[in-house]
Amino acid sequence: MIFTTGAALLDAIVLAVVNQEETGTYGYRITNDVRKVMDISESTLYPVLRRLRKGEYLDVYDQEYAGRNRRYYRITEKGEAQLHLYQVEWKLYSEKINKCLRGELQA
Amino acid sequence: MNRIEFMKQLERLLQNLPAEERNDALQYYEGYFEDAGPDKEQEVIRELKSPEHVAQIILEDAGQDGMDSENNTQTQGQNMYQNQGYSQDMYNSQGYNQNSYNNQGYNQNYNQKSMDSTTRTIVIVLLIVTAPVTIPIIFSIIATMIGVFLGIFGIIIGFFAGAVGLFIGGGVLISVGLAGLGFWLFGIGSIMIGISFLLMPLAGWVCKTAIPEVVKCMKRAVYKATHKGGNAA
Repeated sequence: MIFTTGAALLDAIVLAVVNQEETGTYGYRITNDVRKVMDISESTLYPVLRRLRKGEYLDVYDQEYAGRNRRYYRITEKGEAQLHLYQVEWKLYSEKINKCLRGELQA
Repeated sequence: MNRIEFMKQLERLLQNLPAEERNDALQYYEGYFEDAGPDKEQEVIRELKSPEHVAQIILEDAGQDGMDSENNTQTQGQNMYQNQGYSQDMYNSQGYNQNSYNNQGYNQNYNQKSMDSTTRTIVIVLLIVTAPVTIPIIFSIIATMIGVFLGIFGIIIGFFAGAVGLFIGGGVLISVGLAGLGFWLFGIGSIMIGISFLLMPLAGWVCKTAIPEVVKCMKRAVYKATHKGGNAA
């Protein structure tokens, strides 16, 4: 991708990805889902998940899977509110950029 | 490099992190390898580049976090955790740059605020470090004071005893001399009584003037010492 990805956009995408799974999702799967839309390194996601968790946008729980504990991430109410804010902001921002790139921006 | 070697190296590189942070990160990457499965092990390792690269990202994030929350121990973490140079290849965005800008400002504030507590800590450390020297010095000063006091007391006793001795001795010699054993004894006895009359007021002066004066001096010295000590602490 030739456009740089900001930390806020990455947060928004991770929140959206986690929000899709009612019962929560885990690190490997989040990484793969994010990588479907964004070209990020696999090592990028841990700090993002950690930050979102510290900010109480996500919470975690451990559940046994195939004889080991797997950590699941779930969106919190605060995270849902934040995601909503990102959605609104992104709509405004992307519409402006789209207009500009199409040459439809009024003077 | 296989997964086990990778994790071992990562653990070693994260040893400066608080245990909870370190375990969280290690658990995350353990789980990541597990979920990727043995088939993708090499692919994941290639993607992660190196344990050093992964550790650097975790440490930078932990350092940033410490600056955001007003937590002293973690603020120092920025320097403590970070083993390698600063790298911005992860989030090369405006938001991120602004963030680190704010953090710098905060860091300066923090340094100024901590000056007082730093000097206080230095003083306490110095007091502890020099204790083997200062404690004997204090003891020797107290011992010297007691010694001077006892010495003066001894001089007074000496004067009194001398005066009393000379007076009695002089009296005896006078009576012996009068009894006809020789006028020279009478003379010596008179001189001794005379000296004893000289010593008496001297002893009295020591009692009345010298002792209160010395006590006053000592009080002043003790007050000065404690007053200074109070300032330093």
